[in-house]
Amino acid sequence: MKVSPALRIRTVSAALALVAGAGLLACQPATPPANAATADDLSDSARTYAWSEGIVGADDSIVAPRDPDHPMYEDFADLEVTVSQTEDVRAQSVQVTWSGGVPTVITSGGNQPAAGYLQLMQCWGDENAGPDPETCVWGADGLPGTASMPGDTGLRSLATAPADPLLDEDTLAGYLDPTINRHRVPFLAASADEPVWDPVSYYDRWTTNEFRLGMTRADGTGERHFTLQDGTEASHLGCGRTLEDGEVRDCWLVVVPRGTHEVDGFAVTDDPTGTSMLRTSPLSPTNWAQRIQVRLDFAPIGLFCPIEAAQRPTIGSDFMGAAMYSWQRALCADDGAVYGFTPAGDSTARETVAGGLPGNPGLGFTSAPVTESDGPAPVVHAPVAISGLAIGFNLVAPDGERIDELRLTPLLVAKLLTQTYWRDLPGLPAPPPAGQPDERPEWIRANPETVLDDPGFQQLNPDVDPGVFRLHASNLLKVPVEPSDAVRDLWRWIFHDEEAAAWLRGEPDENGIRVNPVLGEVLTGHLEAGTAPDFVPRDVEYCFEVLSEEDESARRPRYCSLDLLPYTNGFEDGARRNSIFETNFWAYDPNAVPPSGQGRGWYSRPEPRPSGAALTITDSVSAAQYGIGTAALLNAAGEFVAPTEAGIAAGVEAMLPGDEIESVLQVDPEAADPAAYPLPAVTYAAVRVEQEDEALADYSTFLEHAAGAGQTPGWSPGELPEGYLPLPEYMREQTLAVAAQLVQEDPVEKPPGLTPGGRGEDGEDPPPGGDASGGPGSDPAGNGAPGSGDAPDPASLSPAGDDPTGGTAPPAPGGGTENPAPPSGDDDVLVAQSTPGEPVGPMQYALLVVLIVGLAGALAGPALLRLGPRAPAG
Amino acid sequence: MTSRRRGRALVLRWAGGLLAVALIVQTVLTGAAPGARAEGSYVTISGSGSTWSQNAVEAWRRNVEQFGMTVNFAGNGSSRGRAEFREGTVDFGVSEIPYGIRDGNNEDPPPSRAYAYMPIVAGGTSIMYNLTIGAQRVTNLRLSGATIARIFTGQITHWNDPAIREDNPQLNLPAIQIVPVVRSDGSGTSAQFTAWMVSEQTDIWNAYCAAAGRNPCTQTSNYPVLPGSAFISQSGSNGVAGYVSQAAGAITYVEYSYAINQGFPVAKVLNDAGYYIEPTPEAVAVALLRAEINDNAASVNYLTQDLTNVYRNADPRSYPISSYSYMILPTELESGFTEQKGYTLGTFAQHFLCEGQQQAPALGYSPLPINLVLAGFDQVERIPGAQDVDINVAACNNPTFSSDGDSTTNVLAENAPYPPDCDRPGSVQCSTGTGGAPGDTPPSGGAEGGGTEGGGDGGTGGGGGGDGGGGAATGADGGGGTATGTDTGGAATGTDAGGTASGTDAGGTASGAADGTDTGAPVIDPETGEVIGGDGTDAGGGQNVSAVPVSLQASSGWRFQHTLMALAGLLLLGVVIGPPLITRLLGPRNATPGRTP
Repeated sequence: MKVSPALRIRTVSAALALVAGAGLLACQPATPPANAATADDLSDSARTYAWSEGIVGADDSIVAPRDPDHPMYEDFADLEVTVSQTEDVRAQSVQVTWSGGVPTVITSGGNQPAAGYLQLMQCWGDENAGPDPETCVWGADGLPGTASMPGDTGLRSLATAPADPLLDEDTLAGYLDPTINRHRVPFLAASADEPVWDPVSYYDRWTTNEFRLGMTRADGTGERHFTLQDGTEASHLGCGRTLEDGEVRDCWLVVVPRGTHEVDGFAVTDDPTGTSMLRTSPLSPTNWAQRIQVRLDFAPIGLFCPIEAAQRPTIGSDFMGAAMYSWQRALCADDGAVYGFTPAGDSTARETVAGGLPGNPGLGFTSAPVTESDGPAPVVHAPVAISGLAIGFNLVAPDGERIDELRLTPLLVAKLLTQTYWRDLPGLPAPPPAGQPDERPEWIRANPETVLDDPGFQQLNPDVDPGVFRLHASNLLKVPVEPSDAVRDLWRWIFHDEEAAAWLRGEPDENGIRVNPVLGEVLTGHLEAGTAPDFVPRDVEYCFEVLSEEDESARRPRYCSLDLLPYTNGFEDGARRNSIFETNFWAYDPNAVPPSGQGRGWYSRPEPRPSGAALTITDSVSAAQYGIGTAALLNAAGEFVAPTEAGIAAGVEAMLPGDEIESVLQVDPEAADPAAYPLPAVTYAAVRVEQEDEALADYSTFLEHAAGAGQTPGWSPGELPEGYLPLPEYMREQTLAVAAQLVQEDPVEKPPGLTPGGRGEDGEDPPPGGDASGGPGSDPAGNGAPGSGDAPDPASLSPAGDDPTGGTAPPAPGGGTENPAPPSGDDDVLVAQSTPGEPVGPMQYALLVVLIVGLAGALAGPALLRLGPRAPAG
Repeated sequence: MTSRRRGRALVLRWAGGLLAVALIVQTVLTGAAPGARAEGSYVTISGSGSTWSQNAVEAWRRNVEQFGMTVNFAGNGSSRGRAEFREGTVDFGVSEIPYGIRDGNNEDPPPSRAYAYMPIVAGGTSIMYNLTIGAQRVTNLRLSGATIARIFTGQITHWNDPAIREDNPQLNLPAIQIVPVVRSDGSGTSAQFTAWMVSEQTDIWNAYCAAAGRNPCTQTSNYPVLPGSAFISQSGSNGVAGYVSQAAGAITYVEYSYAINQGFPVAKVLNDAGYYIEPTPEAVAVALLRAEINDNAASVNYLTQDLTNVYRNADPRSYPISSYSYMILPTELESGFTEQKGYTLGTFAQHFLCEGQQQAPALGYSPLPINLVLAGFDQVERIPGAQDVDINVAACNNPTFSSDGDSTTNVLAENAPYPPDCDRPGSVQCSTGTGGAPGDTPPSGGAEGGGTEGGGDGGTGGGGGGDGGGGAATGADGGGGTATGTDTGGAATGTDAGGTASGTDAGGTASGAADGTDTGAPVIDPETGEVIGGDGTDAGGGQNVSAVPVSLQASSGWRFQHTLMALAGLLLLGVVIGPPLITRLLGPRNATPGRTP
């Protein structure tokens, strides 16, 4: 990688000579063939391990049999653990299910587990015998303390009492951390030579994937998804990285079962006082010896793009995050272009692309088309990905019971989005006891505490017991901070539901629940105007007010709606936070340091939890990645449909031609198909037409990949990650047509009509600054819809595959009235649109050439006259 | 290090030669840089700090995933970022201000671990607001420095304050309360904003600061709020921006990118040259040409900024409240920092100093100029483990770099557009939108609007002074008359504000029939009893637009066609006057004086 400057200069000197003749591209060094992972059919590699058979090594042999005389043997003799996938795994979720375990015992006095659970961790270890405790991610700094996991059960510490018989004094001495003068298991990172006592520089509570408390039901079963990390996310494990010998590092999922017996053989359940609990770390040798270790055959994490290369920038929709990560790494193979991706709101992407500022990305990802209001530059659209907006949920009861299905109506989602449940309003007191006067605002008096208490919710989801989930269920629904077209579609879905719309307008529902009037007013305004917001408004006026005792300036640290209901940084962030139950219920902690850094007393960030209730706005891709559920939503046909492949496919099928540009589909909130998921998302690449040839070529290559190999489902770089749906054939052709058109030789041939709003077709650049009253396409007073004379979009004509090349569509006759699409959603609204420029081609130089020749002639004429032979008359 | 420096200088000198050669060199270097894909030997690194620059850091963080690099960043505010770096829980911090800045009586001690500052991105601390007149969102508000300071010190409490009216001659400002929104957490944005007030609005700030019980009065990361005032405190840039976006009458200070994200306008701020300027990437780049960077490499505050001359930059294109954000880098292997982390952090830094700066303008930041990038490279080299990072200036794809490698020019600043006349104080103001709200704001009143009165009978929207930046065409509402609006490019909006309609005709003509009627009933604010919004509301026959405007393709500055046109004009001139001139020149030698052929 390292090239010294001197060498570089020499290389340049040599290259310069070559460049002159051979052209720039010829000089690029050859790249070794991409070590792409083989195409993988996700074979069913689920494996079940019976504890009694012993510890299984990498070669499937038994490396350590169980001892039937061991005190713990009876606890685990029937235990079987199944992992849903063990081969070709990547950074993904796997499901771990078990049976024959010791049922979980929770202390009567609190929420601490006393006995009977499973502890899950990811480890590296290249030996056949498996990993060592030192190589496991466990005991992350900052996880909740002994109040939730007693003793050392959540830590790397080794206690001296109860004494582990496998820890002799010498061994124990080696585990003494001199910095804290306590015994603990150090962590040896795969990327390091020396172990460290404190693993905080490798992982902490936010980045660990350890799972401390896998609860077992009374029948001995339980399950839990486990998020595997690859060598990119967790370099300290290095899973999937290529080792020096060329092998790919496999890793281990280690399950340490905890029964009723402590390491010293004492059964905590035998304690007559009922207060005994398991207290030792799973890394303590006796506990460690009971492990079930699962060899995980990691796929190579693959090659990454060269960071040194200049990038071709793209910007836009969060829906593209996972696809871009996959495609980028394939497109840069073989000296291909490196594509940058900046996640941004759809509208930002549209304005960036259409604004046409030099240096800004020329390709933006958006759901809605670029229109004249976004900027002057002509833009073409091509579909690149299909996924779905999802309401992700994670509902796990303290006993480990997991809710798999959730049904939501537009009305319920409207309530979740509008701070209607009183827990969503910071500072609002709880309802007074019966008989006491209610001092709270009138509208909220009949509103329940959380959505779980809403009779409408309970009717649809009888399995979700509010008593079980309510404790940490406040402020359920997390929303992304960035405005997006997807959120606008969500509101449109709500607005088109009569019940939800009436409720937003102020009508109480059948249970007397009423909308928060502040937000109701904002949304009713949109309802009346026929628009929908692309963000989730908040009632920002509600705050906890806490007087700081020590601050002399009597500063009031306020803790308001935007603190209580913080936004997520996007779909993936929302899904990730849901998967660890990062609820937003911040508790006031008198000892916490406030964000100002002054004084004491603030709200402490919630800890990751093993159980709880959480909802988030996310996408089908992130939900799949983090293993969270997705709610089935009520569609216009009256059916509840989840964002499954079939549901999204039917949803896309039911989408309508766009108002502004036919070929850019829009969600139909009134779709009649009972199988249609109401919030499908087709993401389009909007490409600025007027760019450098190199940029257009790169974007064209990108679109070709997006319409080709990029639609093959799979985990390898370049393929389509789980949660996306492959584009249907007609969309691929649409995209290929745009890709071909971008690299056409002559810009004149670029078909018109690819910009929204239409343009006049007389083939002339409207003279800037000149008199434009007769300008193309302008007869606004006459037809009331400037620019409605749109030429048919060639791409829009190709859905049936009748025009795969697309790019050769002839320029349409001018100023026509043949556009069947209305200029905007509302016929009565006159929309001002600018008329985009049209590439004129070489014709624009004609006058120049004529004038140059003319000037030359004019200047030479008199001179020749004078210099030439004198006329006889002279 | 010195040899690498020499090599770099050599490359620069080379490139400084022929432009053509330089271009080839760059292309070759870019193309020939080790382009092979690799599995990557990066380890996960984590950082914490500023929300001012978080949008940029977040974009870089996401973009380097494709290189196999995992960077975690928590936007906790600059104060927390400095604290967490000091405590050794993160590998790097991000902050707008260095350690040890005097903040009242608070100390911000530098960490015991070794560190260095490196500038990462520039930007404008913008004044984002939420204001509507009638139903029309205001997008073209202008504010002088004193007005801003008086708003954020509670002296100006209503939007129709004479000081704001004076800044905005063509807005009929409503008598609603101003809600200043400030940061509740320790914030570099607060520090930058108050530093500007301390320096430029000293008396106003000192009075407020003293009233808040602060002694001494300094710049501060913890914005003081007087009990009982209308001020609102929110944590984080998203908090203040989110609050403003949902509270009418609210105003805050926040990095420009947040206003863009939220789709909200920002105030144009009066600079020392007498222009109201928006914090665009170009305007920030121009302003920061006058930043004084501590270039004493031996100083602990090496590369930190003195912005006094930025605030007072007399360039008409300059945005006054511009600044840099910094990364705090470890320079020793301690607090869990390893050489592998150093290699990763160094490569990450090298990437965002060059290629990553390309992402800055679209997000609302201003890319770093070359002198700071070069200085940043020197800091990168101090990171243990980063010595192996391939630092290649010639291939540094930074949008401010000139093609000849001159380290004193900032291409972005040089090409920054000059503000139009309507951005000067006076009787007119540009109607174009700002920030994330590009829509125009038609004039809604004010006394001295230029042009023809257009309120009564459907007159002509005209005049308005030299609006060069794309004015709004305003068809004035009338009782069924014909209104004509004109436009230079931006979206044209017909309104019936009843005040003065104005616009300039530079591009096209739009006309249409007006059929609205004006009820003439003014909107009264229930609280103050004063008139808010326009003089009347429209209850017209269905359509609120009296003119159906059409705008032509907005001219986006001087383009190739324009050059061609100018050239053609010159040539034509040559054709006309050339022959006689030539003849004259040649005449005395060959011809009889006084005669032409």
